[in-house]
Amino acid sequence: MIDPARCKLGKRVAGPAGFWAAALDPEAQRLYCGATDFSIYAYDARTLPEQPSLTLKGHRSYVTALAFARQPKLLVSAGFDRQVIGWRAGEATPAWTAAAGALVNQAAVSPDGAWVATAQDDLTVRIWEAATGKAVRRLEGEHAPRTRIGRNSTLHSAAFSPDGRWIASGDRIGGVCVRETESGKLVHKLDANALYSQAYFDNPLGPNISSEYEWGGVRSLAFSPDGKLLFAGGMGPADQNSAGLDGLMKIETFSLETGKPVFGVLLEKSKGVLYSMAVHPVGRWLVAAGGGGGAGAGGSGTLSLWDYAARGADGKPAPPALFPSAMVVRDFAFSADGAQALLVGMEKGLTAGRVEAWTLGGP
Amino acid sequence: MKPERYRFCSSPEHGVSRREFLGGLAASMFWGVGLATDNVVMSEAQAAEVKKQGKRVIILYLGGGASQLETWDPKPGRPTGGPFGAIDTSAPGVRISELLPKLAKQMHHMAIVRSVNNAAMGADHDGTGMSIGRKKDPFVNYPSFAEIAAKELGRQDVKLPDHVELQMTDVFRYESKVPPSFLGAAVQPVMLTGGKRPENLDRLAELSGLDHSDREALRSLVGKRFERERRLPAAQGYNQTFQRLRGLMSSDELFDVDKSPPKDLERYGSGSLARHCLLARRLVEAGVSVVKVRHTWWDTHADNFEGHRVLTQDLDHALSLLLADLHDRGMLKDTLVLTTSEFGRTPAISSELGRDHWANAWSVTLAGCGVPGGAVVGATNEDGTAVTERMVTPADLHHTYYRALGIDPRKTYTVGSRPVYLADETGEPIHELLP
Repeated sequence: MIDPARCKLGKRVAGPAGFWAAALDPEAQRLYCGATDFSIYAYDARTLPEQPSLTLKGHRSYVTALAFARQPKLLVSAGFDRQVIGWRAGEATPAWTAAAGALVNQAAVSPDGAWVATAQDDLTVRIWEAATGKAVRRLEGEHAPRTRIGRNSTLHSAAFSPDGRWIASGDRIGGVCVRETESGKLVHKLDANALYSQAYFDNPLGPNISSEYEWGGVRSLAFSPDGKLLFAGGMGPADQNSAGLDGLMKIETFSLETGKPVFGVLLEKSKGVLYSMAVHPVGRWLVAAGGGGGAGAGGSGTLSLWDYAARGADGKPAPPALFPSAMVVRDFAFSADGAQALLVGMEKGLTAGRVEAWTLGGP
Repeated sequence: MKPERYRFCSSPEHGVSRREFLGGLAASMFWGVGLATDNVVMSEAQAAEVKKQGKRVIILYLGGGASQLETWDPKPGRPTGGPFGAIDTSAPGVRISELLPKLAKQMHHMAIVRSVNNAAMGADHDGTGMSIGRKKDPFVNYPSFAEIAAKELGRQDVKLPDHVELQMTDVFRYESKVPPSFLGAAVQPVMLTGGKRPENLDRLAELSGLDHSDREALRSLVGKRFERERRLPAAQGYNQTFQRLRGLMSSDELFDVDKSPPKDLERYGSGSLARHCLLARRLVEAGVSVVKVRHTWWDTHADNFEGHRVLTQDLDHALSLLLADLHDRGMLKDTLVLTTSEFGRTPAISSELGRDHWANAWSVTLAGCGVPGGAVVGATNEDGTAVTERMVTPADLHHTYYRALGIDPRKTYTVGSRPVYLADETGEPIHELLP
């Protein structure tokens, strides 16, 4: 279904605030956008009208994480206000509210749609029963608590395996833990250090010496449909002379059979961070999006379509097809039929949120 | 405002060689000579009195420009406010960013100036305006506050440099790329890069301790006779220099933060800012008058919130420990502790979630030397886009710093035939912050 040659930007709409997170209610074809004005806006995903059809208010800070559960049909939101809120589909009042105990950076829904996991600033992955908001698991203890220069780490990302047995989490310094969802038992500890930049770590000034530059982390995670590969997204090695996100977006791939890295790809001319990744429901395409690296040749943001199984004549992975976006893309959701990727982000600042509907290929 | 492109230079000349280190130290002993050579005549009134008081300064310089909204002047819930909340502090009614929970408990020692405006300095990406407290002048290379403080507070009875600067890298250190001020190289800092003691300070391996002492005794004998017979300031200066160098070599462990008591090392931890604050505390305890600690990469044109979540950890931990330690040791009353930057950061947030350079309305802090803890001077509007109360200029800040240290800011140096005030005459001290 994905055909990079036919991938193109369709409709774009402006949002009332910057958009940080996205989730789709596939049945109602409603796109939810978590915003920097602490609201959640819902749009008809088929038509993307100028005005949202629904506004959900209940958070007290940026809404940084959205996931749509199917048992029951419920939107789960979380943010920097340390709250997790469940919203019945199409309703504007919370069904339940729970204390996360820490800033929430990202959320993921289990394949059966019954649980939502949150990746948190206290280095825990918490798993919530979507129906009730009850915290059913608290996974902790495997990620390094400190960065290489002694700062607190955080969990930036989480993803369930396609069968729901495993959950992966990524941290500030490139650590990835894959654990059993039920028991919390560690299955793999992976090193995606290429997604973490820290100047002078191997420093001639001495073993305890490092500069204060520290950027990156595993900002997005996705499993392949067969559960054999794990993709970690973020920013590759950065120009540490810079005052921003000066590295190219990068995807690291790990084999979950061996627990070893398989290959990595840098997104050419696409500076910034890959904030969101998902494998398309049909086929072997990894869809990824991000931005924030400033005025790179790829524009402010990038949509990447990668046939991760394809190999070039040299036997190396074929490079992703890249599409520049005028906005810094923070998150995306597939349309109900999988024909589109609905990207959300910010174009010129926090008052200029955007939704872009990209057609991914043909029928 | 376009992001400034910073270049990092790790070339060996930015290290501290024995020659540079000792040369700088020797130069610092000859103000009178050096200044005479530079045709600068000092007024010496009050200087001796200030030195007797033993005042000291520690400057935490947040290179690249810390965001006032994520530190001292939060605006939670406003479009410009970002995602973080504000928390109560130990000073009733004063709230700061939730990113600074440890400093919130030390707020009774600190004062905040929330209305700094250095926009009149023009494009001041290098922070010179904040450093010298006045507009740049193409005809006069003004000294920085740190240099003047070193000159005014420097103590000849202490066998250590008067002015030390600690940094991990010199990325943001623009002063190293400009000529010395009219006070000359004498007041420039001894630079320690990378958190380690000066290199090559050890006695030569082939020289025994006894040999070294014998040589020093001979040099001292000859030097004192020379000084007695010539009665020149230069001769006296040479002898003082050698005494200071001997003192420095015998106390060089002071510069090695790893030689701190294990408990201190454990409390301060491995972060560069914390280690430098511990070293700064040790240096002022030993008699160094001015210590500037540079911390970098606050220049968060992108991913400002992730950046400040990380960087404020350093500031919160290091400064809160430093203030508590100085207070517990009875030193805070004589030690002025400042946080400052080149500028603040824009209230507007870019699509990259960054904040750019912003000089119109931002914050600095002061503590110690009688500055009333918990005081807040000035205010900004609800979005932080403009000063609404008590605008404070860099000149005002410099007047305040000097007054807190017991130095008359209207004292003059004479450069050529031109009298130059220590602090720019357009400024006034912030009287609310003075004892």
